[in-house]
Amino acid sequence: MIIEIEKATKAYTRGRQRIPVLELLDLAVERGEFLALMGPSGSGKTTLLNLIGGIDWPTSGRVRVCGEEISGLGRRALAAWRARHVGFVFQFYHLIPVLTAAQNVELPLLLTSLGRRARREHVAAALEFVGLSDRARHRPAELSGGQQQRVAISRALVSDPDLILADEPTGDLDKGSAQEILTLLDRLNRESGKTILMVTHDPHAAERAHHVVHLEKGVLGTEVRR
Amino acid sequence: MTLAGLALGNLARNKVRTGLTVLGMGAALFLYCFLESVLAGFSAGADIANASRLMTRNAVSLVQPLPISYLGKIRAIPGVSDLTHQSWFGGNYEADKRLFFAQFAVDPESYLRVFPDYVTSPDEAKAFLADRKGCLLGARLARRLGKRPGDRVVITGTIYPGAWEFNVSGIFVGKDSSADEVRMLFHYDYLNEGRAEAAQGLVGVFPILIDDPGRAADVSRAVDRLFENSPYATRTETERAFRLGFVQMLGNVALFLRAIGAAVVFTILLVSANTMVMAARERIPETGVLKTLGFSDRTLAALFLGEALGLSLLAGIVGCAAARLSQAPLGEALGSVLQDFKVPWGVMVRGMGLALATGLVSGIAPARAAARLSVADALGKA
Repeated sequence: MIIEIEKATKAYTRGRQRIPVLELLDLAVERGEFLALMGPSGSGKTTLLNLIGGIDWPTSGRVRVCGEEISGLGRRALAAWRARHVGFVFQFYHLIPVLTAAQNVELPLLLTSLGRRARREHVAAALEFVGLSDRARHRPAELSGGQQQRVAISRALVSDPDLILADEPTGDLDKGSAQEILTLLDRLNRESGKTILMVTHDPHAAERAHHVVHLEKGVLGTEVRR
Repeated sequence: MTLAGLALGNLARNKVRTGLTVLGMGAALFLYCFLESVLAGFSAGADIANASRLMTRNAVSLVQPLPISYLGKIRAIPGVSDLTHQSWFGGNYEADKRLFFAQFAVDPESYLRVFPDYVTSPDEAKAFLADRKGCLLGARLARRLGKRPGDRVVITGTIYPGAWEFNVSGIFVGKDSSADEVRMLFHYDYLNEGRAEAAQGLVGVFPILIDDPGRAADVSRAVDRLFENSPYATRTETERAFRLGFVQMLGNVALFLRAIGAAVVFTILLVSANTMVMAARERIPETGVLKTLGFSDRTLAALFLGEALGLSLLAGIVGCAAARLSQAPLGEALGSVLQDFKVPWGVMVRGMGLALATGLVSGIAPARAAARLSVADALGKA
């Protein structure tokens, strides 16, 4: 299993009020899966993604990802863990506007011991995978939304992570671009064996996943196998 | 790309804001360098003082005279190898009264011996000694007045009334660049004969050369002891202490300049801090994204600090370079106040250090905020 969550609870406190988001949640995802996580707004999808991606901690319970119990790691260790194991794709791409596409893709590699030449080769390969080799020197403002998301995917995969977490990756795209992105994620899963966990509202997007799980009011519901 | 490149690249995000910040900080640093250079210029005279020279003046104050008859008595004191005298004339240059410079009535022969720092050609020195109305002009002063040997200079006396005419016998240059080249030397005899009888036979200061600088205190005491019960008691001190006395007279001015300098430093800090805080606020979501990529809290803090340092480094270069490049025109403008205005390398180094220190301080708050930022909160603001 690449993801094992046992009785994870996440609650926020506002003043004296406790606001539960996830309730005693269990989830197991096998390596190489393509899983879609669906649910209405406020159901806790992004919170669950944050727990799996090591950018938040559960209030209680265990979260084990890529063979490491990350719920017990500190900020520094989690940052290093994220750099090694997880690639993130966001709804609004979140590219650095002053950097070129290639420089944006190179960012995660700055944290590795790779030399300049090796980094350049990795970046070129990642951009080639998403079909944007000819846009390497363009800044985000010079790219369409779909192209920016492809650069974001390229950035997510450049350090060869085990797991790719995508939060509404097609939420800001037109239908054509959305299909391209979903195809890319599908290729990543099939050709490179990456485990993909995608949060989406879009049932058409979810259809591309192997499994779909529904989250409602912090509780995992039905699982649909395809 | 490198992490340093990333930090500096962030400065290019908002070119107008970065440019204005650099200009604002640079202007403040220029002012700082200028003020520090003025202060350094005031005390430069003390630094070039000759350790073998003592200055004997009236114990009551510098403006009170001493009898010229002391000359022989001082010469007889063991340890004194030579001496001369000089008297402040305090006149206005008739052609341009705003052009202030010092004029001293001296005994030409002994003065050039005691002050070998002032160098003139043998011919010009000879001409000076031979002409009772002759004068020597410092090279910078001669340039400013547009005078050459053979020209005439008219000074209107403020202490000794009348229009005093002088023939320019020669031009002297300082042995090194810090020597005073903005003074005029002329014959004491010419002054003495032309002034009121009551003032005749009086001089301002006795510059004394001693054999051994290590015995300066003993010789000074011996001179002062000799005249302690006379109507003209003396105060003898090293040339350095004598010159520092002038700087101390400017005490309030120095304090005032330092207060302006402190305000300038505070301004630099505010300008830099304001820019960095704005930059950090604008980039909260981006900081969150970098954290998801694995950038640690420390790395992000270092990126913000690096950016702040880059900004202040640019401003430091602009401010210090502007100060250095303005040295000549500022020197001309300040010529009557400061004999040799310079922006010393030491001041520029301090200016750069100040820029970097303010950059560092102004970067601390955004760096800490970036380090403490929760990724989930940051992404929530995206």
